[in-house]
Parts: sequence; C-alpha cells; structure tokens
Amino acid sequence: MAGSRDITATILPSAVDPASCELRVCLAGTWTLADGLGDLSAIESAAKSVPAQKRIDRLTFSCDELGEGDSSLICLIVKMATWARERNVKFDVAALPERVLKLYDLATTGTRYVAAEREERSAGIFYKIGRWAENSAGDFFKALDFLGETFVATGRFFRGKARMRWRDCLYFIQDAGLEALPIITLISFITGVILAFIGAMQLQRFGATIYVANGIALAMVREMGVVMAGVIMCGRTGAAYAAQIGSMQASEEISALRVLGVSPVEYLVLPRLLALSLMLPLLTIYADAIGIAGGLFVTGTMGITVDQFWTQVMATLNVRHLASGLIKSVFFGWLVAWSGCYRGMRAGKSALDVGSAATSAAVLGMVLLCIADGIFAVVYNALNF
Amino acid sequence: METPVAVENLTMAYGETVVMRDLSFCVSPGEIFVIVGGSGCGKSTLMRHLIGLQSPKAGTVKLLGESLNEASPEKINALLRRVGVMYQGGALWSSMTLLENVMLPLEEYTDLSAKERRELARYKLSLVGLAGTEDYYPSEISGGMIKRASLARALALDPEILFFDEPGAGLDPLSAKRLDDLTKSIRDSLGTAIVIVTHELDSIFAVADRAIFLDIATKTAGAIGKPRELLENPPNAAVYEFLTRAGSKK
Repeated sequence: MAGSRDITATILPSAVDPASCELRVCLAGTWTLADGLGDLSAIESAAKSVPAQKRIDRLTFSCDELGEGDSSLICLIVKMATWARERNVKFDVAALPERVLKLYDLATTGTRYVAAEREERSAGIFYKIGRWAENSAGDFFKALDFLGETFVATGRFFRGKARMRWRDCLYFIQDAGLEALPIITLISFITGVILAFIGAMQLQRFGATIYVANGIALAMVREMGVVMAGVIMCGRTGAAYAAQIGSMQASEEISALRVLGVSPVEYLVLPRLLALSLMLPLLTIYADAIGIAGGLFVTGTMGITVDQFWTQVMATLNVRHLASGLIKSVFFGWLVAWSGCYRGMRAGKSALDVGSAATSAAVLGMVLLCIADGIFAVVYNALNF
Repeated sequence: METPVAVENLTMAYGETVVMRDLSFCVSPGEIFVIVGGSGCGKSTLMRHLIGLQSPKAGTVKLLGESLNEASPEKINALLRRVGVMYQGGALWSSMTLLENVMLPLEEYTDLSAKERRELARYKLSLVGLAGTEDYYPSEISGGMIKRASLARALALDPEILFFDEPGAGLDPLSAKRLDDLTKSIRDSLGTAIVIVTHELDSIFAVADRAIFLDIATKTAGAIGKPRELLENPPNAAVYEFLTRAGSKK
C-alpha cells in the first residue's frame, strides 16, 4: 500500500537576519518504504531559487499534516541534516514530532567509528604483484615453521616424550583405515577397469590382449594404487583434519591446550600424521589388489582365463615393484595429513575460515602429492628401482 | 492493532520430555516483555516457539493475531517479515560486511534500489550507534558491536515485534547497560513490542514492563507481572529466590 506522502520546500525571508533566508520544509501524509526512500530534489530546487545576494541560514520544518512515517521518513531527515551540515545551514528540528525527533537523535548522536581501511581496488598492478609476493613468501615461511614444529614433535615422539593420546591415534587409524575401505574399493575397482580397457584397445591390434594383465599389475602397484588412494584420502581425510583443527582454532580450544602447556602439534597433529602414514600403505596394498581384480573382470570378458591372467601378473610383479609403491605411500600419507593439519592450524577464527581451510587443505595436499610423485619418479629412474 | 504475541496453554516438549506446560500470556503493542528463568528452564525454547522455529506439543501461539499452528507456510513467512530477531551470538553472516548484512533483508523484501537500500542500511546502523562501521566484517568487530549490528539487521524491515535472545550475554556491564538503553529508546521511538529472553537481573529491572518467570522445578510459569511488584510481593519462594539472590549482591 502506497502512502500519500508529500514534501514541499519553500524559501521564506529570515526573521532574524534580512540578508539571509529560511528554507521551510513541509512534510505531510503517510510515509512508507513502499514509495521508496525519497530524495532531496525538492530542497535542492528550492535552494536554487534563492536570490543571488542572499544565503540560506536555517532549515526548518512544518509538520502539521504529517501522519505516520516509517524509516523512509527518518532516513530522509537524516539525509537533509547531512545536506544542511555540508552547506553550513542551521538544522532546526524543533518542529518535528517527538517520535521522529527521538529517532533522529538516536541516529545522529553516539560514537562515530573510524571506517575500515580497505586495500584500494584500483591499486596498481605492481602493488598487487608485490602484495602477492609478500603474502606468498609469508605463507612459505609459516609452512616451514610448522614443518619444523612437526619434526620436533616427531622427534619427541620417537624418544617417547610426546604428550599424545593413543586413543585419539587409534580413532584416527580406524577412521582413515577401515572406514575408508568402501570408497577405496569403488575407486580402485573402476581405475582397474579403465586401465584394462585402455590397454586392451591398443594391445588387441597386435593380438597381444594377454599382456593387459602385465600392464595393469605394473601400473596399479607402482603408480595408480598409491596415487588414487592418496587423492581419495586427501579429499576425504586431509580436508576433514583441516576442518576439525580449524574449528578448534575458532573456538579457542587450541589456545586452551597451549595455555595448559600441552603442545597442540603433539596432541592434535601427531596422532593424525601417524595414523595416515600407517594407514595409507595398507590402503595402497588393498587398492592394488582391488584394481587388479577390476582388470581381471574386464579381461575375463575378452576371453582370458583367471589362470592366464594370474600367471602374467605373477611373472611381472616382484618385491621391488611392491616396495616402490609402498615407500611412496608412507610419504604421501604423511603429506596429506600434514597439509590438512597445517591448514587447520593456520585457519582464522570465523566459521567461514574453517571452510576455506578444508578446501585449501585438499588443494595443497593434492599439489604436494603430485610434486612428490614426480620427484619419486625421477629418483626411482635414476636408481633403476 | 493486533496483539503482537498471544500464547494460550502452551506446552513445550522435546520428544516425550516436557520442558514447560500450560504457559499463557500476551504481549501488548509497545511493551517490553521479558522471559526470565534459570539456565536450562526453556527460555530459549519458548522463544523458538514464539517465532515458529519449533511447534508446540499442545496449546497455541498467536503472532500478530495469526495462529502459527494453523497458518500456511506462506502466511508464516509473511508474518515473520514483520518480526525482527536478534540472536544470542549475533548470527551475522560472516562473508558479508555489516552494511551487506543489514541490506540483505531489504533486498529480499522491498523494491528499493541498490542505492536506497545502502542508504537505509547505513541509517539503521547509525540508529544502533554503529555509524562508520559499514565496511567491517563481523570477524573484525567486538562482541558488543556484533549485538548492535544484529539489532540493526533485525530492525531493517521496520518490524512490529522484536525478539532478543540473551542480549546481555558476553557483554561487559556498561555495554549491557547501553544495549538496555538502546532497547528502551527503540521501543519509545518506534513503538515496537519487544520480547527479551534473559537471566540478567539488572537488565530485567532496567527495561522490563512485565516479565514471565519460568520455574524449572514445577515446569510452569512461576509468575507474570511487573518485576518491581514481583520483587516486593513475590508470589512464591522460587521467584523470591531468583529475584533477590543475585539482586542482593548489589
């Protein structure tokens, strides 16, 4: 429902000073937000009609026919006050109804806070690059810092001095081990199936379909098993670690530990690092087996028997291949857990920060995992492993 | 004008566990009504019933003349548009600045242009004494400022009823008093009915026109009335104990 509001502004000769004049604003009708907020056009056009040699020295109101008014009315009056202040015009609110006056007082008195300083959006490109470089360098040193802390904590652990709850560690082992099996099963099986199809497509041309088995066995055990398990754990567990520790950061639980003299790195980070470094090798062996089973499933439909498949697999695999995957898995497990904990410990205090910690933990974990895998590939190659 | 809040024989329960039974009271236009009681007596639960977040086990809750039990979801939404709530923790959206927090209800429910919404939100912030803080994020301001910003957001749509959940919680006495003063100023100037959940005695005596005392022992309303009169003439031991024990420390 629209109100019947009205605003008129008239110029009157000033009663006090003949050289100046008064701006009388006449408010009437009902003011509702449905009509919008109202603007200063009436006042401004009236101000323009002031004779050149005179100036407006005060703004007054006449509210005889003013009815109900909601925020739209007060908002306009506050705006007029600003207008008057900028022009050095006395703002005379005496004629306003009491109810309006109270709100006007409430809005114009009280502390004025200093506006937040925000980085200028229009800052130059060099400024932005410099800012970015500074932040990245800062992040890098913080990461080194945390890396050092984890090494110290690990050292204390091996000397039997770390303050850590074994129950926590067992819980994380269960969470990152047994409870991760269903998703590892699904993804590894599909990986094996895909590898088998890709291998078969090429090898069928030479009539060498049987060698699909060798390819799958080698690929799963050396590379795909550990990488897929690592990536899954990164999304599933690494991100969860960041969220858990991040929300503890937000609710000051980490400060509480620190004050108690308990190192949060030992108490919170260490069990997670241990659990994932222990569990990822086991998950990798499991993923290898399931992936090879997926390959078997596909080659079975291509006329290769289980016996033939198994003979080929055993002929290809040896302990070295298995070890190459398992060594990597320990490192990957540690990296994934570390990135999760790192992002969690560095999270800010708001609910939003917890979410971004989880996201960035997953990203960081995967990036580190890929880099580490690349390094392993080069090193294994150099060592002929 | 409709009665802002009318509660008849309300029984609240979680599953089979009854929290409070047979509550009946009305809140008049322009009245500051306080819900009082010890921790865990169901004050916040009662407030959740009043704003339709929880359904009563028995009895009716009428908001602005409409029964929340019977109204359609659309009707309830229309009713809630005329209600403002200040939550205990502020419940400001952390990804938005204070100005954007206050602007969001305006964006959803009015046809104002972006410029007008900005202007109105700025005015609402100045109304609660937060002029100049428009560009701050909730994580950058103090607890007292968060409460005020939350109040500004509750006021955004010129509500007819305001609900405050524990407004003084986590504030120092001076900030709490300022918030009480602000509460009264808002009632005096806007004529809004205000329902406050609190256990702070200072606050009860400072702002309340009437109070309902929830008695955890009997699971019923121990008393309803003006706080001063309840203090001078306590109807039962529980009310007397609650109103004097903490009060006698002063």
